[in-house]
Order: sequence, then C-alpha cells, then structure tokens
Amino acid sequence: MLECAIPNAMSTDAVISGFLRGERDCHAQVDRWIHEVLGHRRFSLGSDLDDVAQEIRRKLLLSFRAERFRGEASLRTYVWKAAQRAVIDHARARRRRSGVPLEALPPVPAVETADGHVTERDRRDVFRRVMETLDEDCRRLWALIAFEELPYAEIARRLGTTEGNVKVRALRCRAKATEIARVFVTSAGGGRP
Amino acid sequence: MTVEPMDCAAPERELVPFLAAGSLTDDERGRVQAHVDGCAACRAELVASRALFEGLGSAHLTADEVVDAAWGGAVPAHLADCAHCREEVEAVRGSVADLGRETARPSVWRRPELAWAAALLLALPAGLYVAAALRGGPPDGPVVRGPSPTSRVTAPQPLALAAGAAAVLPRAEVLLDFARAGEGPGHRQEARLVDGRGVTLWEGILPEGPGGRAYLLLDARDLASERLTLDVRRVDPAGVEQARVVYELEAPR
Repeated sequence: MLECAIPNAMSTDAVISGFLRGERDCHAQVDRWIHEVLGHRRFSLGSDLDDVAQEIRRKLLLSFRAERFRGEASLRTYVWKAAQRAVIDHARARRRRSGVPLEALPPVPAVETADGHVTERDRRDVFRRVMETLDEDCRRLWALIAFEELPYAEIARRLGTTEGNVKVRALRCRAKATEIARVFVTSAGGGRP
Repeated sequence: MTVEPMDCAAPERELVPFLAAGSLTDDERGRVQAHVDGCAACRAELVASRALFEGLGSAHLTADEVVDAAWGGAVPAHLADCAHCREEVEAVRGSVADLGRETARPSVWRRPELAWAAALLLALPAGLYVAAALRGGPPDGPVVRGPSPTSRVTAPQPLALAAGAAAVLPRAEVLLDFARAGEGPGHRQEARLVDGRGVTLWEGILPEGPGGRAYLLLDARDLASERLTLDVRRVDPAGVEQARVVYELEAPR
C-alpha cells in the first residue's frame, strides 16, 4: 500500500519504509520537507540547489538504512536538520573553493598526542582549548587572522591600533598559542594539562 | 608541534603569519616568500604559523554543532570568537524560526501593534486590564474591526515584566506589559521573543507606546517550551544598538 499517497495519514515508519523502497509519494513527501529548508531566503543556493537536495536524499537514505532515526524528534524535523547540515557543508565547500590556494606553502606537521594517535576531533579539541586559554588580546587577534582571514591592515583598523603593532603581536601571540598547544598535545590524548 | 623558530631581524619576518593565512597582497606575498626561501628562521616561523592557522581552522563548529546550536542545543565557546560560525548559526536559526512559524497555529501570535486594538475590543469583559493597558491613551492609528457577536471573547491577563526577574507566565492569553529600552531621536525598538529551544517565536519593531511602555499580546496556552526570553533593543538610525533590555519568562507546566 502506498501510504505516503494518503494525505495527513502517513506514519513515520510508513514514510521511511516507503522512502527506502523508492516509492514516489514518500520521496515526494521527504522532498517537500527538504525544499522547505533549501528554499529559505537565507540559503541562496542558486544553481547548486538540485545537487544539495540530491546529497541530502543520499544521506537520508544511508541514515534510514542504518536506522539512525530514533524518533526523538519528528521525521520532518529530522529531515530539516539533515538539510540544514547539508547547506552548511555546501556553503563551506564553496567558500574553500574560492579561497587562496596554499599548496605552495610547506606542509603542516601533524598534531600527535602522547599515544601517537590523533583524530580530527582531538585536533579540534586541542585548538579550541588553545583559543580558550589564550589571553583576550591574542585570542581576538588570531580569531581575525585565522577565522576571518583578514589582512593585517584591516585587523589594525578593527582593533584600533597600528599595522606595526598587529604584526608584532601576531608573532608573539603565535608563539604563545604554539606553546599552549604543545602542552595540551603532550598531555595524554590532547587532554588538559 | 614545531620547535620555536630562531630570530630573524628582517622586516619580512613580521608578515610570515599573514603569509601562512594567505592574507597578503600579491606583492607582499612574493617578497616574503622570497625571504622565507632563504631564511631558516623564517621558514620555521612559517611552518609554526601554518600549523596554528590550520589547527585553528579545525576549531570551527561542525555542521552538526551549528545546527544543534541553532535549535537551542549547546553553544560552544568558539562562537564568541568566530563571525563565520555565528553567521551560520544565525542563518540556520532564522530558517528554524521561519519553519516554526509556517507550521505553527496561525492564531498563536498577533502583531504587537494590534495589542492596543485588542485592548479596545476587549474593554467590556476586561475592564481592569484595560485600565492598565490604556495608560496614556489609545493609539493614533486605525483600530481593527472586532469579533462578530458570535465570536468567543476572552480577556487576556495583564502581566508586567521586569528586567532581572523571571515572570511567571500563566497558560492563558496574556498581555505582556514591559518597558521599552529607553528613547532617542529617530531610534527604533526591535524585539525578539525566543523560546527555550532557541526558536524565534516573534521578532519585529515595536510601535511607539505611551509612557515608555510596550505591549505584546500572547496566547500562552499552547507553548512548546517552558522558558521564553524577550529581548528588546533600541537601535539608532545608523543601525547601532544603543540599549538593550532582556526579560525572562517561565511557563510552568
């Protein structure tokens, strides 16, 4: 029975199982939820909209197959969140594509924890802690350098100081941050010293 | 991590962190890169700066964290430092609010400028409340048509809000009575009502009100969250925030 074809009568299980079986009406229902997010004025996807929608469908398919939907929120909310995550990932990928290539620069040495094993999550934790531990001035400065990727002239303007001051502090704060990172990394598993 | 670089007194040294970040002009990049190629100390500085730059790049919120924060979940400290991640959370939050509005019962919220009209319409059954709501006189604008004789008429309960003290919100129709965030020539008052899940229930510009007061009519009988925050900002004509008042509301089950 094509339960997704019955307006207002489809259960969550019916939509998921219908979606997994490839039933057109269930796909149409999930698509409606996806496009409720993708069509939002804040997400200007332009010609990428269909690609993003397809990526969301693919991820939902994998997720439903693995039974990762546990019913903690409605299926509609689950689909919305999946769509929002995909939009964020897409926007980031687009930003990376238009960024300055760094391939000419020397390779970055790996962050290694005491047991020699490092995951992306360890790395993220280490550098978040570095920022939390840095003093306010250094944190603000390196947030502008690394997160906003601003030129030093613009950073000086925003901080209300001279370009020379920004350049000197960038070096000094880099040394401080590296030292803090070293302490976190050499403690077990990148944990707090 | 890297070994701390040795010293170099060349002026290019100070630009090495910005070379690592890719934020130099073409001319500067060429000049600094040429110096770095021949200077061991600056090469070491570049490696260290790049390691920090790339490491901090991994500190951004994951897409999961962005969506979670926008839906009222944990708000990582990184958000305070990173404008990009803040913008992403705000974008998703705006989408969440609109999705919530589109699926919410249309009668739950009414525009604040209609609060005065509602006060007038409900004057007979709610004399006491009207006395409070009409302080300073009725609005100059038009008054909307009232309910038909067969409509159900209910009297909203007045609830005065005070900054710094959570008001207990009854599960009823309520007229929120609160102070605006001061006054200034050409300034506007922006208000945003957010529930405990981070969902924006209403946002907009408050109409002029007598005696520095403002009013919102709220049907609180069917709220999905037990906590609400009403954020009132006074913004000058250039769009700069000049004052802010935050009111907390609790709606016990």
